[in-house]
Amino acid sequence: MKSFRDSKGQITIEFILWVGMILVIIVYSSSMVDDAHELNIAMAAARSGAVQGSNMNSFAIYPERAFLEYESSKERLNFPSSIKILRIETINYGFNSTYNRTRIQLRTHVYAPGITQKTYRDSLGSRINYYIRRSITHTFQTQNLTNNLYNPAFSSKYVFTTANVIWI
Amino acid sequence: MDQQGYLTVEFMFTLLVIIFMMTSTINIISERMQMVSETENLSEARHLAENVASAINKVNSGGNGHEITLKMPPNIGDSNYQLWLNSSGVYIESGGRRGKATIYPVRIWFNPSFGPGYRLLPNRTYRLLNRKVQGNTIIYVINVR
Repeated sequence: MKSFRDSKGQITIEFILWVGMILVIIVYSSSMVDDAHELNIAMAAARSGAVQGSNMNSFAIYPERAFLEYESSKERLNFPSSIKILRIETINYGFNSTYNRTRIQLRTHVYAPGITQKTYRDSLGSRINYYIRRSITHTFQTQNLTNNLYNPAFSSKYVFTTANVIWI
Repeated sequence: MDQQGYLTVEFMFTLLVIIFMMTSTINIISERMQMVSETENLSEARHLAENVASAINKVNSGGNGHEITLKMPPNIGDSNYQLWLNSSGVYIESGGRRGKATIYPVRIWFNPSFGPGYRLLPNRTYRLLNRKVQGNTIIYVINVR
């Protein structure tokens, strides 16, 4: 009777089938995971930018040009105030052929009980949106694709625009 | 024999995943660090302007002869700064950004050769002195050293 030696290592057909299936699943899902990961990073950057913009508004320390404008016509904005970012909402507008990317609109919800006048809110909201776009652009190193106002902001697969801030 | 050292497939795979995660998050980490540093500068600038404004208000309300000594910090965070004041407020500028802390309107004496508004230079000490001259309160800003 012939005896089988087991010194060279063997893998079962079942194992090869499993590995094959897992590989196919990984290949198919990797693109989806990559998209989700990129959007996740972009949202983290957006939150970071929103906080940066709201901090500047809260401390009432602005770039010189904005400061002079506020001093002449929006004096209230040169006083510190409490501003809180509640959440940033994303609206997916699908694939945009102009930019060859999926277009996402970001809408920020902000709570600032001390700022009630619309023109003041517009100024502060624009700053928050500017820093959101700037943070996304710097995170993905896409300064060469956008303009001075970082509008729109780009990542590899997405293009981000910002809607007017919603004041609560 | 196990003398040559081995790397398991699991270890290499995990290392690959970690490197992928690190490279994709490094930019967001650097952006966050920058945000924290800027916030610190903004906070310090606001704090300094409010401190000076508060000192002027105290000297003003303290009456004739009241004085406070102010020591200015050498810089704000890692940035230089400029601080100046006039009869309506204290202005601060650092890293291209400007802010104002308001004071109760009062006459401030300063050397006109310094230009419009009195500049308080970094790392210097100043005396704020309340003097009543012909019925008017004047805050004198005197450079001590």
